[in-house]
Amino acid sequence: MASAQLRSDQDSSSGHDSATKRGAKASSGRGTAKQLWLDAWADPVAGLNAFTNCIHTCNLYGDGDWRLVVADADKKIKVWKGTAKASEHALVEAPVAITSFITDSTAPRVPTLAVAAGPHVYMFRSLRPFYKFTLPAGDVSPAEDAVWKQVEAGKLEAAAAAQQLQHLQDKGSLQLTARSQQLLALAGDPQAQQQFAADSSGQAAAGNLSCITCMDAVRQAKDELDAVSRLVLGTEDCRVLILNAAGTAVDKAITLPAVPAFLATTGELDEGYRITVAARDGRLYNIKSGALSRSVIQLDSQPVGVVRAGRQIVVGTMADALHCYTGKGAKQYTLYMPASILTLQLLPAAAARQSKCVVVALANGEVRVYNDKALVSLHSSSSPVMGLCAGRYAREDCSLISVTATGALDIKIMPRTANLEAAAVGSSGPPPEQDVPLDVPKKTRLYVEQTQRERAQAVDMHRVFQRDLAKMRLATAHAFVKVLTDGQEIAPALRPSRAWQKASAADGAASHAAAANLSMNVSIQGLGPRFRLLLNLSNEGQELATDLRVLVQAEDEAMYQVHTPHFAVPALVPLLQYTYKVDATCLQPALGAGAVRVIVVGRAQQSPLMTALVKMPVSELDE
Amino acid sequence: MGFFSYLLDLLGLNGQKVNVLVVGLDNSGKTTTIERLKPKNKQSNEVAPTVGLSVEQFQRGGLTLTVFDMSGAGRYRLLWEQYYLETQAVIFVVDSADRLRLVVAKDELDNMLANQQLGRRVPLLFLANKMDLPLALTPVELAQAFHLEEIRERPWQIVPSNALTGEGLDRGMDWLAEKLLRK
Repeated sequence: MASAQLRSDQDSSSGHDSATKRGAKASSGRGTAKQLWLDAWADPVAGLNAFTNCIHTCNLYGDGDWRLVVADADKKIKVWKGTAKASEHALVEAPVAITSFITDSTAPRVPTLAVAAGPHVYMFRSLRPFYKFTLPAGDVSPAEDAVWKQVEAGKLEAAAAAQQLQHLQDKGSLQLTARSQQLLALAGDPQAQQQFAADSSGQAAAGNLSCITCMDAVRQAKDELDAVSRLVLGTEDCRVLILNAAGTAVDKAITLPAVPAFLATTGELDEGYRITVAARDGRLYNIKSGALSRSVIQLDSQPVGVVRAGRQIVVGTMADALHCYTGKGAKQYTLYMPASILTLQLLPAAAARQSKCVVVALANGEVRVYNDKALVSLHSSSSPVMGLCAGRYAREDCSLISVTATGALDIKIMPRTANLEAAAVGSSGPPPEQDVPLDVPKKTRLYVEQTQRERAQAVDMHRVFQRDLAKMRLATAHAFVKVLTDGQEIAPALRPSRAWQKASAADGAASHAAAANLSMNVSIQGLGPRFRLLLNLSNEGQELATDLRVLVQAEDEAMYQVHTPHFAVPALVPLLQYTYKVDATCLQPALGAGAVRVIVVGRAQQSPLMTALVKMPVSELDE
Repeated sequence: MGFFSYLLDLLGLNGQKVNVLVVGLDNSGKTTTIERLKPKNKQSNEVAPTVGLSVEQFQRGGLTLTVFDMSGAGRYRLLWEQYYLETQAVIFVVDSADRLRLVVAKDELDNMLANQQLGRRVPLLFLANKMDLPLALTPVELAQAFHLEEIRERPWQIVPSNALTGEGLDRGMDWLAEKLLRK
């Protein structure tokens, strides 16, 4: 009873998935995944506008009560404590990412909050501005510099400068500065361009400032919540930067072939670390202890998020697929989602359980938790979840904070007794039927004797079989020859396909009479109920055949009326074809198709020279 | 002292011995509550998060209470069930200002009530602690959130308290003593 219940649930869940995506490998798992979260708090009008990168929880004041910090797109840092918004702080620029890191191991370990915006990382301690890190300026190419110098000297109109810059960019060899790109973005509005050129004169001194695209923190030596950590930045000029412990200078820079879009880190700087970078060219790059690994993973589509769960890399793509790779780039599995993936996040493992789970938010509002391939939790939100943050919040080790497209904030907590193991949901591994042994019958004495006999006398058995086969072939050949020589009826009765009948051209039946060397070919014209039979008679012998009669009669007289049931053929000259037309009307089209028999008799012979049974096509109804 | 209590024991004046289990989430005020219940001269003002559990013994209202102060931290909560079998009363301390973790407390309460080892007639005293905080929920709201009305067989009571000042604790302990003595 219980297993039947389980089965029906499985069917309904997997059916739902496969309806939207055929060929899904393990789309939902086979188990009945329920929500495992406790609904702690929901604020439908929180008015948040933030993606996964901009949501973070940290021990903001070092008091053990972890706060939620959201870098909102409306240029504000919003801090939540428990169920209430604690404070708001204005930002200068729209934030790109937020994270926190711990600079030194002296107690109390108050984390430094880092907000990346444009080329800067704004750092806060206890929410007070503390330091502003700016990306080191790159070199401006001489050609680009020359254009701007001309503009500033008033020798060049902004619009003309934009054209020259566009020309430089089209060559593809150099990356333009942010200032030039902004000017190009204003194309088509010469006044705005002129205005921008005048306003942005201060930017020239700063050199070629890049922009930060993503940010994360990597721990220095120990894998603990409050271990010393450092910032890792991905920049628009295709670099990944690891900052020094204080976050004031670049410690290490790794150049990538493409612009990084998402970062995922694992390990510790001192022990060996890995950074997986999902880049804008749809590839995954791995940085292994400071060097770019040669193995590059080409994805099927653009990435929407990447996490590192232990040694595995889990990446969601715009092809609605969740791919898992090993660190070396070998693909483990792919899960197909029923809707587009919006974001994904790593669910940090509770201390007791080593499982590393991935939370995935889909465009249809579902939030799923996968432990490896197994779906261990599923819940739906009324509006699609845009930003996810999983980890410690307040005093709970494992909570899930989601921000939806409508700005709602939802906080869920994982109960202590929750079991994330795949076995608990029964959705992974071999099905239970696999362990039930097949009911193989015992080897009886008869079977054993038979086998022994086969083994001992295999040659004889084969020989007997071959002899019988040869005999059967001979008997068949005898029968065939007899049929040919005796002129007995053969009813080839080819059944033409219907489309072919409608074309009304082809042979319906053919017959040969070996004795008189006659051949006949009958074809049918018409769709019904009136048909025309075309009899093609030819004499394939050497001598003239005379005085033949042809009889045409329906198998069922009530079915077809043959208008000329018999006619005489005075003579058939060899090698000429004679065509005779016989009209037949189907009297009862509703009854289907019947057959018409054509018989050729000679004056002298008693038995017919040749007969043919012509199967008629199904007739159209008479209108 | 030992001699006196021995004499009182003989006379039956020292009252019965009762094991009381004090549970609740971390930071709800269990240890502070117990400090406040102790005689004045034994109270200490320094309270640190309990690790594992600590056991206290004191007399109150004609009863000798052996109080098991369980740690509320997530990783120690599985210790609670080890003591269900031998306990005669449960004090469940709730931080009534912590609205976020109300569901967690409710989850732990459900786990406890579903446990077969907890006696069927064990009285439950809920302390709606931290009632002085501005955002604190009232005992009625807490009882609704916990669905206390669904507890049928065990006697229960919810009392607002403030463990820092000891307010409300006497009322709760009087109810508990009454239930225990009636047995």
